[in-house]
Amino acid sequence: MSGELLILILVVVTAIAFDFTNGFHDTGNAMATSIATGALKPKVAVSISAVLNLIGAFLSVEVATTITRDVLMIQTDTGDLVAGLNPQTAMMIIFAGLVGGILWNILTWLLGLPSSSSHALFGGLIGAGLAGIGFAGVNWGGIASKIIVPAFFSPVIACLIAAIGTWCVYRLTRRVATKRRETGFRWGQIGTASLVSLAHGTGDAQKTMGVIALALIAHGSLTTTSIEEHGLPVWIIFVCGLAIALGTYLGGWRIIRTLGKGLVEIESPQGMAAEASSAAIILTSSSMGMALSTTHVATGSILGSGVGRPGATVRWGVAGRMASAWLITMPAAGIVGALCFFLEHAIGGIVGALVVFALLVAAALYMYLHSRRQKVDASNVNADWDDGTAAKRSDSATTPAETQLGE
Amino acid sequence: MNIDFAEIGLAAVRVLGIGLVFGAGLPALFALGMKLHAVGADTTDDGVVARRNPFATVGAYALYAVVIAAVILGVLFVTRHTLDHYFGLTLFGF
Repeated sequence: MSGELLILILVVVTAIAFDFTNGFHDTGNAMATSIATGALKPKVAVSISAVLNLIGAFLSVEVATTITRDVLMIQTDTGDLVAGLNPQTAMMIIFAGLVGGILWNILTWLLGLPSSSSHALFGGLIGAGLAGIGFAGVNWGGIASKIIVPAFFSPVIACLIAAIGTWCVYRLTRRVATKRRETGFRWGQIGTASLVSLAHGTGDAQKTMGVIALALIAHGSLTTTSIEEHGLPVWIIFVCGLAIALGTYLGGWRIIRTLGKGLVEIESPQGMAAEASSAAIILTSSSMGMALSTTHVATGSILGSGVGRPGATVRWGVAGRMASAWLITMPAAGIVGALCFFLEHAIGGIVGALVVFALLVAAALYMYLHSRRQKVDASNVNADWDDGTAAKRSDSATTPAETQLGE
Repeated sequence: MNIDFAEIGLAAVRVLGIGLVFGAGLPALFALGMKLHAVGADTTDDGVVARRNPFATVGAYALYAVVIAAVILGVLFVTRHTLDHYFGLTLFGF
């Protein structure tokens, strides 16, 4: 087996692992509100979401093509690699970027922070690209217009739409008997949350597909032209869909808890309005090829549903903590990506890639074991959120995982 | 580095517009349907028992149907390229 092929396999395996973390990191975006209001039992919710993510993965490829073109500039217009870049280095860059994305995803999951998986991925790739090729290796224009700017306007738009939707819904149904209203909107919630899951599959599974395609392009076994003409190879779509579905099924209970209980106390009409807004925005923007972060949209919508409901309280402190995690996501993942590339490069060749891979596995395992000390799962995901305890605990330097549960 | 701010702004406005119609408009229609449904059935929250009103019930189901149809059309529209690619279906004329 040639060295290049081995590295390609390593990249593909790591990409699938990233897709898996993407799945459990984002289950909450679709299902947190339905779980919080009791519209769906936690296990049922994650199962439905997993199946719909898998289906969603097959629905569209616009975002995947964006990833192959608009993040890193490793190929010229003719489809060859840019001068001075050999296939091995190009794949090493992608690999280092993925490692950065995965590590950031697992860390934020441990902290229960719904940060953007997409930004972790892009940040990692950009950092590794800067380290490997330099300033010219990164498509700054593409990143600014398809990733950074949308990252700022999408939560605001989501918040606005969800607030208007929530306000209308409460206004229109204020004379409807409470019990009837709860039941009706629970159905609405199940429908809209399913749509968000579907949208997540079409948006996020594609990001990994794009990365795998990029690795194949670097290796020389695929070209952008062939993707545009014949679509992505079906095995990529299938494997990515499956990985994200499995991750979703596992359920990122820590993040589900933050989104469902931490930001605002959610009632079903609010939940439905929030999910409807998320689904509409994600589907619209992914069909336009914009790589929006599902997380930013979902969080913006949930906040908006709190703003729009008369008499609801929004925990702006929790929202602020999330927003700061959003801002540092890209740079943090970028630094890890760059460090991984330097390490690979210093050791050199296959051995370098294998060492980084081993470090990734070790770090992931460590954080997983750490999470077991204060478990959040299907049984306690809806336990009452206690702000006072959470604040007190974080002052006295306990582990972040402990403050998260705040019991 | 060339960033086309006009294009980005246009994209944002489009997302906002479509988002308002589907993301806020459809929940509002659904809520209106539920209100009619409640009027058609019998009671309201303040305990006033109105007469049963079959027209309201029909209206409610019509609104639910509109919401469901809009969602299905929306999803089909987003997936139009894939449907065309795998099944040769061109639903929207392009």
